[in-house]
Amino acid sequence: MSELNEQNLIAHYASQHQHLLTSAEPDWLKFYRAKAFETFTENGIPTTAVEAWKYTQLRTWHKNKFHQHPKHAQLPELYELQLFSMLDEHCQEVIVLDGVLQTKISDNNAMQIMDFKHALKTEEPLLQSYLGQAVNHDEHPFVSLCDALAEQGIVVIVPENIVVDKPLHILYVSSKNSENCVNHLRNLIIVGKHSKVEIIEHFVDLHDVTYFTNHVTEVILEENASLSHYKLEQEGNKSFHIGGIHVKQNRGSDFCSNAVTISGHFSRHDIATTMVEESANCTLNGLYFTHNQQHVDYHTTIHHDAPHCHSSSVYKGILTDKSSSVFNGKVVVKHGAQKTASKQENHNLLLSESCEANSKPELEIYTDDVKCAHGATTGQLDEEALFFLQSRGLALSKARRMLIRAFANDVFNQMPSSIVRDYCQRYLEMAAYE
Amino acid sequence: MLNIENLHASVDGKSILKGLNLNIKPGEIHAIMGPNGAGKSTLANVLSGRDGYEVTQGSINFKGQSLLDMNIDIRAREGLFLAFQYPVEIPGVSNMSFLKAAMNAKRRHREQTEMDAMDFLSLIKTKAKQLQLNEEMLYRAVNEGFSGGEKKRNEVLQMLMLEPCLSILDETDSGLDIDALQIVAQGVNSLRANNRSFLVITHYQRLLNYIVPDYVHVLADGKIIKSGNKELALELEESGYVGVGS
Ligand SMILES: Nc1ncnc2c1ncn2[C@@H]1O[C@H](COP(=O)(O)OP(=O)(O)O)[C@@H](O)[C@H]1O
Ligand SMILES: [Mg+2]
Repeated sequence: MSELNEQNLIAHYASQHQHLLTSAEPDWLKFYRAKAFETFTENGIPTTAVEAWKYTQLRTWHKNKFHQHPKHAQLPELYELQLFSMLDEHCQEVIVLDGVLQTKISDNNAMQIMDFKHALKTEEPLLQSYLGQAVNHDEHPFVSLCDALAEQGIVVIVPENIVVDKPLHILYVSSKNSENCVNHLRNLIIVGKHSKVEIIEHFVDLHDVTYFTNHVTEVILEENASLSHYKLEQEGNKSFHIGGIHVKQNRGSDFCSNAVTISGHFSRHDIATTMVEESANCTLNGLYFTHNQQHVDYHTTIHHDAPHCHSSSVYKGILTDKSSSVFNGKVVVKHGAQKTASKQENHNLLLSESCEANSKPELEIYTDDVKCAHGATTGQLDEEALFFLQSRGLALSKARRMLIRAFANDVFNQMPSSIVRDYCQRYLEMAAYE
Repeated sequence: MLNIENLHASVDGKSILKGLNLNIKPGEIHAIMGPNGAGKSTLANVLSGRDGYEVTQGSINFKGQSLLDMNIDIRAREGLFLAFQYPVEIPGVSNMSFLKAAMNAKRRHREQTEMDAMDFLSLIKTKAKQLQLNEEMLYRAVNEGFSGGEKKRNEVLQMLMLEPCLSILDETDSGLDIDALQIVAQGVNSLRANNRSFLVITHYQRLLNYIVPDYVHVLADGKIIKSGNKELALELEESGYVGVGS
């Protein structure tokens, strides 16, 4: 990218940022934003010379100057959303339309769900103490950008000793009004001691327009807290999506992340967790299906900062057409984190000649007495198996479908929620075999 | 049922079958014996339609149609079945679900209605029991973690379910102990009928004590060099293949 272009873009964001600094927000937040923006400008927009962006070109993203505030939007007709509804009687559902939470607040005894602005009014001390605990601005330029600019977002607070029985389904909908706009979304999820919750973050768009979602979901898991998190990307052919979940795990906490890309155009997902105290556990599952010219980049980072923590990660990709993917899984075992057990796998299935899967599992170990393993494979459908299935009377297309499904099911079967699993399977089948 | 005339086939440009003739009538059991590398599996693969096996000359007629003009799956639906010498493992595809799909593909092909789930279940359980296959294996991925003998019996299970009119068994007996051999043979015999035929490829005469063939052929260097009745198998057992046909 040219120097001028980058300066242009930064200036564009600087003016948006400036506007916030003159708002009525509390001083600590303005200070936080200013620091975030400073980091963003210092590091610049990453090029492929930066290791973490080696295979992901921001060139096309860059061409678009996304505007900050979408026009006020009418809630789409219910039937339009029905398609993406996760069987609502099983879930508590909230809708974020063009970046704005539609249900003002919802407090159902089990947990509080509110928009960021509201939380600033009612939960300011909490926000002040938690915001930024789990994110790293230096490593994640778009987190810096989001923290500098995001006025919207969702805050979820689960108090201590609560088992939330209904999963929370957050449906992020982009309508026509998002065209050429960016939605910066800054979410914060705090799960109290011994509490347990399931949260589905689901990104969809209704009209196939060009827009940019930049979201940060920061999560604090207190002692023995448990979160099953799902992120479903089901966006259109022109969407740009950069987002991440950044987690801090305290003693004995359990984080299960499930990321699924069903459709989209350009996306970068970061899943980063730091186990800061002992006996924490994390499981990262991921499945990406890519088609057309789609590009998907998954970066997972697991920091073992304390002893006796376990992590396991399985990511699988199914690539077709001219699409491309990146999986970069990094596990860092800090000095003193004995009895760490970690394994990670990435497998890619290439269904066309011109797709490309980049895979890089990384392991950095600074202590003894650990058990770590990783592996990666990339290949086509097994010819022997295809022949065998046909020799029993199945048509080639059916045999292929069966093998693709088997490949994907490996990940789906790891998902704790059968509701989400069924949903993803259904859509994946539609996308993969249309 | 099956009529092979002057079949020449090659793999990777290497000619393996060199003018093979074979005629199998409905209800007959034919055995093919022969040394390693003679081309027995090649014949089986050509019949099933596997990629990479190129027929350079000759014809194969199956139930009045040209077999070579049919796709792999159509051959199967028309009633041809190959029990593989080396059964493949398919992680993530359950035995049960794949067999059900195979059954229904065949039924649709014959314009029959799909099989009721309960009927299918009770049928497959009966057949598994007959082959002394643990019921739990039906729910496992195809051949994954199966022992050598279990894989072979699993092939026979598929055969019993699909009820082919022409079954080709490629060394289904190798690696089986005598008990398993009898179970497999009993399975095959239970399918015997005057409208079904079998082509049994084997190294050992032993199997033919249990599956009694109408004809025995010796395949060597890509041709059938000698044919006879079941006594031929006994002779071969004693004197080996050396000198046969010369
Ligand atoms: N897929 C293959 N690629 C290369 N050569 C093959 C292949 N299959 C068979 N052959 C060769 O063809 C010949 C016959 O093999 P095969 O039919 O397996 O013999 P048999 O089953 O009688 O032992 C052997 O020389 C073998 O090496
Ligand atoms: Mg052989």
